Amino acid sequence: MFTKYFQKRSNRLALLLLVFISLLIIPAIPSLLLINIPQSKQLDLKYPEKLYGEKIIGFEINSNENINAVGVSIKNANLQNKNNIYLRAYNENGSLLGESMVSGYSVGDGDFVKFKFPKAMENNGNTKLEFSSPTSMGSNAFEIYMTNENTPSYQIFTNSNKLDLSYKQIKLFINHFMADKLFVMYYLVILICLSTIILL
Amino acid sequence: MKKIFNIPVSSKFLALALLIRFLVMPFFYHPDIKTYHFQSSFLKKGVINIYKYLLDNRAKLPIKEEFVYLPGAYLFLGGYQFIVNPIMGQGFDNWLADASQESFNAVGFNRYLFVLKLPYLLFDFLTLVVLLRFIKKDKLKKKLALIWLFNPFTIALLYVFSNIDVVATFFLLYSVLILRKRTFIAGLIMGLAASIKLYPIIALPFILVSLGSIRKALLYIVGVLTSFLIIVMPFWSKEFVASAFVSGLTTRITSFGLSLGFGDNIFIPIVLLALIFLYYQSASKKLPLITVLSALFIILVSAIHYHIQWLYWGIPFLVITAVKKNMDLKYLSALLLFGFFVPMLYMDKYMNVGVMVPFSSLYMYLPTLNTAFSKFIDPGMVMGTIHSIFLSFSLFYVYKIFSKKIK
Repeated sequence: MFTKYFQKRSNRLALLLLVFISLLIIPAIPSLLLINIPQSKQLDLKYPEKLYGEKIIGFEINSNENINAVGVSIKNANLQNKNNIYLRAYNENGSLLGESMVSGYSVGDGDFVKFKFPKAMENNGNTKLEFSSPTSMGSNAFEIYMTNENTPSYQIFTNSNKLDLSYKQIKLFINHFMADKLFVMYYLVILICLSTIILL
Repeated sequence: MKKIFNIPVSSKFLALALLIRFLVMPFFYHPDIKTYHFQSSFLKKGVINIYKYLLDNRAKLPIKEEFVYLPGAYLFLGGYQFIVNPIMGQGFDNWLADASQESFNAVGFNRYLFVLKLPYLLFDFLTLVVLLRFIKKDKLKKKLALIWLFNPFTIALLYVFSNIDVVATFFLLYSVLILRKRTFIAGLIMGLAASIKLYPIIALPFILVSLGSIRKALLYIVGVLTSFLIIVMPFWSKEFVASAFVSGLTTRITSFGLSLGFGDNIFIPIVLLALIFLYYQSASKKLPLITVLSALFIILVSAIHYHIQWLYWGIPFLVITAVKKNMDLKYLSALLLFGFFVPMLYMDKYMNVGVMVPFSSLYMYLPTLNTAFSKFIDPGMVMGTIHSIFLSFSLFYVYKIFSKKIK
């Protein structure tokens, strides 16, 4: 059946178009599933800072985007600590913008852990973020990787319009691919030659 | 019709098969290709005993894994890199050594993937050429060629998950092809296969039985040992034994068993393999070696926790058997679909959308299927159910191919 179908040139053209279009569309589909988009690279992991009891690790960020998650790397030696870790976000006036909780059960040793807020936080000024784990003890404390004395090695995640994002991803992909000009030239010549053989 | 390399399909089909492969090669990525090419890159820097080198320098290397393949794989991959180094450009070694996600954004990422996968393309087509020599009828040859060229399973295994298994499988297949006429050479080629990945050794008892005489079996074993030892001996060290011989396969075969108490166990995969062997020994005159090898590999893989790449081991044998025995391809397709679906449920990003990171590095932030399932149901239960169906399909398919006569 396939060989008969393949004999007609119009069918071969349709098949060829289908193959090429699939290559553009299929990889763009997962971008529709993206909820948390990283807005920055994670800062360098310099040293771990203990988090337990009354201790709070706080820092400020300035972002005009709608933050819906913050990720940090956390040490949980021997996966011993099963207590909760909280991340609370406040605006400049000290009003609570959002709260996120992660259970120690899901924190591996050295894991990058995302604290997701129930809804994206809209804040145009500085946002103060505070980590705490009041029920943890010093002996089995979580340790948050810091990039300097005051700032954990964090990464911010925001959400955005899915179609915009898909379009942006396709554009980024094409730009990135085209940057290797020599390879692209040879690669396209090969594809054109093969397509010609199929169609002629 | 003009035939290229005696492949009985028109040049248009071959061009389409090549086009599909070329479209997949630079745009899908599994980190294994980078890990073992990073390790093999030391060959061009003059390192011979890679096993010792990686252990001695673990602290300062960005990728800290041991080299788990055999020396043949190191020589093959390292040798290939030596040849293609001039077209890879200066950034290639830096890209190999970059274990961070930044490496997805390197200019040249698509070129590296394309060039590193070219040997698999060669062995893909060589495998087809060898497969065709198992079949005499022209009509069946054409059917086999079309199945091989356009089945999505081997395309995904070779060009998405790209691993070196295709090279070892090709040599095993070629060894089986020339087994009766050139037994010693077949043994040498089998040794070559085993010096790349150890798994072809599992087929050895079946091959020896098929030879039918002790003299020929000895000749074959001498061939195997000769090439295997020539390649492996220069690497022999305690580091080599610790890295390459304690394979994932050995561990996994002995993971699924019944405890009899007192430290004694019955390992189910070994029971199944032994049963296939005993059946073959009693029916070797009626049962082609190819058929029993397809049974061997599909049962082995479906009865253990497997790497997706291991599915490839049995596919060439399954395809010849399916074509020769005129099997219903629906069963084989369903069997392989289940086989593909199980690893997609592992807690591994690179078993699903992660392989598309060349399109967007953001895909690394998407949850795995396992995580997605965990919101509704225990993913282990889903995986276990599908794996059980996969094993059942394998057993049923083996029953069908054992009971059906060649037309």
